[in-house]
Amino acid sequence: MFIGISSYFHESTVSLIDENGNLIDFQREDWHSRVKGDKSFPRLALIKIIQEHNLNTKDITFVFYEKPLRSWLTIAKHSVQSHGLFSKMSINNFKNFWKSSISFYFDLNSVVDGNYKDVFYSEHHLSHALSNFQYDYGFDFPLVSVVLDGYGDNLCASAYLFNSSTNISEIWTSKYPNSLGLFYSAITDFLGFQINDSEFKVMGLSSFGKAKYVSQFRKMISFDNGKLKLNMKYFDFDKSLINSYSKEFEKLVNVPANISPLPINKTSNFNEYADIACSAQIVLTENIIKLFDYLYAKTKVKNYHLTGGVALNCKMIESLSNLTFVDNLFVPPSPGDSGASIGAGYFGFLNSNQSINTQEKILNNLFPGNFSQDTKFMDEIFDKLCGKNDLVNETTKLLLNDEILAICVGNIETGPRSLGNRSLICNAANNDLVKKLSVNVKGRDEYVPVAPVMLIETARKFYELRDNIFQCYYSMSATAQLKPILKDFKYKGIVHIDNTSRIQICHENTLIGKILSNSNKKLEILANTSFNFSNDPVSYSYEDSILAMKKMDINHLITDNGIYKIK
Amino acid sequence: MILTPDSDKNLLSTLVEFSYAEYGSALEMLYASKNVKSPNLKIGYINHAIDEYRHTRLIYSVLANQLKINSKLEYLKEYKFRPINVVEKGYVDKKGFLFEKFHLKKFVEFVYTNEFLAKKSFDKLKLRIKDNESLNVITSIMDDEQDHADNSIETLDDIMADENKHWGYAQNYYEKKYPESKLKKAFYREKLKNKLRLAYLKNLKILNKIFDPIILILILIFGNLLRIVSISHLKKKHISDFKPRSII
Repeated sequence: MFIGISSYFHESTVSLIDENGNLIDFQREDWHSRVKGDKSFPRLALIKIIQEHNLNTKDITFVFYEKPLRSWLTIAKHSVQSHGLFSKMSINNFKNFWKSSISFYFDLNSVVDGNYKDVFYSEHHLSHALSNFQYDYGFDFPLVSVVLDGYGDNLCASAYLFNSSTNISEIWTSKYPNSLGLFYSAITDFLGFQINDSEFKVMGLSSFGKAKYVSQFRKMISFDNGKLKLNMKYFDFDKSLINSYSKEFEKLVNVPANISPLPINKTSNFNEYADIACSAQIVLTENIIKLFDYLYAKTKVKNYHLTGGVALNCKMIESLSNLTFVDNLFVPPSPGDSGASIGAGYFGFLNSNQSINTQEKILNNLFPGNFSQDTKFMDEIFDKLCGKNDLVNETTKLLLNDEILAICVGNIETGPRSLGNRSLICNAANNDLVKKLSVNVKGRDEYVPVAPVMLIETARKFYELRDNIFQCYYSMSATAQLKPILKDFKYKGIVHIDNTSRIQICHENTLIGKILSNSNKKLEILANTSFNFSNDPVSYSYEDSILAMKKMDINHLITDNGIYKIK
Repeated sequence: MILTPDSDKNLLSTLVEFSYAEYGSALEMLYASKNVKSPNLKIGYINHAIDEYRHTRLIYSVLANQLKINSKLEYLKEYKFRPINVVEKGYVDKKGFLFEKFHLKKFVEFVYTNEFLAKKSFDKLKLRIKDNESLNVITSIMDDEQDHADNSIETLDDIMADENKHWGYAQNYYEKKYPESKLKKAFYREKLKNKLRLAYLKNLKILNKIFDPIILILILIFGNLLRIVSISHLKKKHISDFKPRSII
């Protein structure tokens, strides 16, 4: 057995891969610690996996997702060389030496007490690339796996040519600090959002703006002759502990950074901020398109994987689908660092002289694990409305009665997007209800729309789907354009201002699939958002569900055992 | 549960600390709710967690009020609520939640004493808040803290009743029932711990003065070495080229 671990930089996770190369379980630390984005060593997640699967740790190879010393050295060397021995960043790097992934070995031993078969260290970007192999993405080797993130080890971006799961050539890299992810994070910071958390808000905001600052951003970042280059005059992420953008950045765009405590759409510079988001989105996308052109020219390969935090930009994925040479593009549901523990596990698996047979993978394994929980205590808080036999019928009725429902069924999703197992849903035909769900219940900003979930025939009816990114629609990884003929489209609440939606196509054998099939087309599209409140992680257990429901004033909870209503 | 009001500190920073302290309590109570066996205690801890989460939000509303009232106050990035700060500021210890470290009785005792200490801290904070809206919010939080302490006494009674029922200690029930003197002892113990923590925080600057030169010497030695270290990046052709046992 192989346990992959990702930690210390983004949200920590643990993955369990068995001897046949199947992902058996995946746990995020923040599901258990309840600290959203918890990046500390995933002690609780690791204990959960060991106990739940009754593992003897002596049979396990633990695999960390990156090279700990390389990561620290890269940043420390850069700050010493670029900003001097005693710069704030250099001092900070030395002070935080033990808080970095250097402490992985010691943290692991504090949990498993030295009882393990082996410890391996993958490479950060390779872990991202290998994380794809858990899923059925519908195409085979050769393929090019592109990784775009902030940074990891000493790289900010890379591309690998896979001729088989073990025949891997690194064909392109971009070293720190030349990073598309750090560019987008600086924009996130400039607009007053939280880095490593709210990049999606920049993407949502971009549809409200105009391409007014494109020429300015082209001075900041470029991709020419196979080289990605950031002009560091405009960025401070490598020298400041507070700001990612520099004073020069502010001068160039001639707008002050947003430091207001108000929501951005209530600030006096909202239009300028929307223009900045729009321009940044355009420049990000055009650079990635140039990179894909470059990789195709180099390899002539037409199948692609895309991972790294930048791959969460679903609007950019739709743009990539326009590239005529891309036959297939797949983005896994958890392309960021949290999903890299899956790749780390596969790194261990492949190093034990095995290979992944893409034809024999578990199909559509979006929900690994074996979640179950005792419901005895629920009677104190809930009235049980029905058991599992009536679950689909009764849930359908509640949705048709315009109820907002909380779902906590089966295993939780691996990625940040709720795909129906830990979701808040309502009938998308009622636009006021969708707005209530998004703004009042969830407290989301109005410029970030709620995603729709539907069956495949509904998606084909309303949206212009792209065959080359089709698998992405199952995990909400790409936006899709509404068909232009649909002027009287009634589901306005789930469509963004640019006539796109971050659609999810659901399988008929999932709970939501059964509900939609069961409704005789009375329910075509459901609005679907993650089951959490604001700064909390997604609800994992029934206790978390109760808390989230009370905070958001939701009455109905859908579980595997039936429907519960708060007393 | 661990509060660090400091009259020297900027009021907004103090409010931020209060909110993380309440948030930390919420996480502790939620963790306890998931791991306690008694269904009654489970519900009690869930409700307690709900209150603490609400307090976190309410304190942020007080912070927003202060900004509205006093235009001279500057809204800094560090005031933004980041859940991970609860770990980084030490309000939650990721090496183990209190419920993991303590047995149940000690955990309840801890909750009791800290809720009282929290109420006392809010008393001090209240003196620094001038507007009525914010005062009402603080008063409602203080009422909750009092309720939580009272509930802890009831819980201790229930635990002792259970213990006696389960282990046949009926005859010792009245002797073993948690006496006032023991709670007082626990109270003083926690108060002392918090004072030590405050003293530590206040002396951090002094500690930094001791340790900073050591760090600077280390940087001088190893920083210069870093300049000449080469982080090679070899092109790989096969999975085994990625050297699974190397950390660099």
